[in-house]
Amino acid sequence: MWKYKRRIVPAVLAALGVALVAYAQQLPPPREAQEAMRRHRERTRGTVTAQEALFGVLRGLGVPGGFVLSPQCEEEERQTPPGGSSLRERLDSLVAAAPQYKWQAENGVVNVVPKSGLPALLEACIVRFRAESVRSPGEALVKLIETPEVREAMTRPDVGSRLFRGGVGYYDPNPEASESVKTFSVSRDNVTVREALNAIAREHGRAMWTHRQHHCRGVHAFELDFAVW
Amino acid sequence: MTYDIRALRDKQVPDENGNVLPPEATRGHFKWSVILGEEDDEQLVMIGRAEHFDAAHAMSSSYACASCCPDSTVDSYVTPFFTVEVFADDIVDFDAVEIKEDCYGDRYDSIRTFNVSWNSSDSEVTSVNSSGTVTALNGGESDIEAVFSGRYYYTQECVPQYRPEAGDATHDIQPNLPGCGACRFDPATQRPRGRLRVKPRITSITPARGLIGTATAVTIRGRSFGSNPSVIIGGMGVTYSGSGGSTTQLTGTLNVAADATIGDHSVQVSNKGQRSNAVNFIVQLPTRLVPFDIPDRTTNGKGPVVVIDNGDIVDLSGNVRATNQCGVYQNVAYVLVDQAGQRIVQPYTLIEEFAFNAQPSQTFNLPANAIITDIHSRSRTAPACLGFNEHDELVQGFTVVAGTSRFDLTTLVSIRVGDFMGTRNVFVEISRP
Repeated sequence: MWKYKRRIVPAVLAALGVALVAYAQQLPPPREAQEAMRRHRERTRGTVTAQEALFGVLRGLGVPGGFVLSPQCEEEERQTPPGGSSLRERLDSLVAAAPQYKWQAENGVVNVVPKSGLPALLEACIVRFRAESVRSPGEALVKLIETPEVREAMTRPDVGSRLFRGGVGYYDPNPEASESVKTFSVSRDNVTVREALNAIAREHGRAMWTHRQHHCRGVHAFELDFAVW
Repeated sequence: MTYDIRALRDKQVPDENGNVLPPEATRGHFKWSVILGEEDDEQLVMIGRAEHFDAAHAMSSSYACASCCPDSTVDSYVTPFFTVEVFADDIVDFDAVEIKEDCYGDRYDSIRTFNVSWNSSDSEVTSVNSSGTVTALNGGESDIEAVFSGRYYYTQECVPQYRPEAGDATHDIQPNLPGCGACRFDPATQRPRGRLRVKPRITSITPARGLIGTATAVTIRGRSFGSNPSVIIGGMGVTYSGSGGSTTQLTGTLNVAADATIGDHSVQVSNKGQRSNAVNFIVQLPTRLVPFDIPDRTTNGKGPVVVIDNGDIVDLSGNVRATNQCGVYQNVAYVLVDQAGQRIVQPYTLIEEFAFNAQPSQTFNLPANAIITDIHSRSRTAPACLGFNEHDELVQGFTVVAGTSRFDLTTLVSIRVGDFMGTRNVFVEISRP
């Protein structure tokens, strides 16, 4: 009996390992992926989430900004792209279609935030924030997250750790000849995280930050990233 | 009067047209004329005469030709006879051909090699030197004119004289009467013309491809664009607006409409009605992404799968995107290609969107020549880390916005990234139907 156990246990473990690898590698077949994307595009084409709407408005008018998603676990509701010709008209249109939000402008930076209030992380106060000669808002964001105050905030259960899920960028094979290497600096004392984010967006001029708090399915984390145009 | 024909041959004495007797000539027909001086009506005319004496046989004969004037210039033309179409910098040799008529009324063509002046009717289009060599300069049409002085000879009529002793009237030549039977001439200035059509020549257009729905700054290089060139674009939906240039280079913008015909559009430069050769400008339709290898960073478009417990997430440009992360990530790189698989290098806006696990779409402006990069990641700031089996399952699609038009790419990327039953990994499959 014992000798059989010595053979069966490794065999079961090996089978489990193979099954695990097979499970992990199980990507949707191309046809299924195509069909999923087709349905997604069909469902979403011509509409935008509030976050996408704000990005479109700010990008179109060249105004920096920031967006704070309402804490929710479901997919964001969609709306038609905001109408109007002025920034104010478009922002009014945006929040009219997404009444859980309000917009505010501070020193040339537009923020769309939940009416229910700001997440704790964005209210955290930073004594000294320096981002010298950075090449992108993302680089400045890394320095912001490294500040002791943000580090401390991430230990709080209502904030959680930063969840990083990557994102699209570009590689410039000839960066010396590119205008994209312009650097900028941000220096602020005694500001909240939101104000520091706004300062980064303002100094860069063509950026929007987005904060999203997760308290869903056991995940307590936040996402904080910049999108540029 | 005696002419030593052998001496004329041996000394290579030219005739009035500059021609000489072939040195090896030993026989042939020798035709000559003596004309009355232009300035001196009193100069006596001489006619050709040959006297043969055979003293041994006590015979003699005398031959005299009627007064035969030099061959007259009756018409002319230039060669090439028909209009010639050439490109800039081409060289064409023109000849002036004189149509001459001898005293028997026979005509022949003779290339005029002396005392010919040449003119171009449009010095912007062509230049011509004293030998009739024409250089095409700029697009347009130009007449090439040869000018030379010809002469039309005629014999001075003799006054019929009545000779009572012979009882008849005669038209015989009376050489000793001034003017009678002498050759006289009228000027017969010739201005034959040929025509040259000069076409501008395009050697290159840079760039030779442009994204649909956008404006592409282009440089057209070549020759002979002239002083007022226009650019003609074939096909539908592409127009040119010039911003500057010279006879060898034009700079401007090719505006490609959102509904422009995909593929080749001929580009020609026209000046003064003459069109150049055609070169192609290709309108590119964004079609798909192709994995791109950045040396030492990606293979088949993918970087290594990096599992980190407390490390930095670094993108393909070397930028730290997040610090002190615990999780897993993989960099990927693509380039956007058109319907023919050619890379699109103009700036455009890229939207990535996700099916299955819906994340917000991301809109990104890509500069010229940029390589698209993406990080597939799921990580948290340490000391936190991914939970057991915490992962994302995504199907990623891309849309390119060019101008006001959107183009859904066929490329789809299936991604699974994160923790799988306690093992962190990234699985990426790129499908490009």
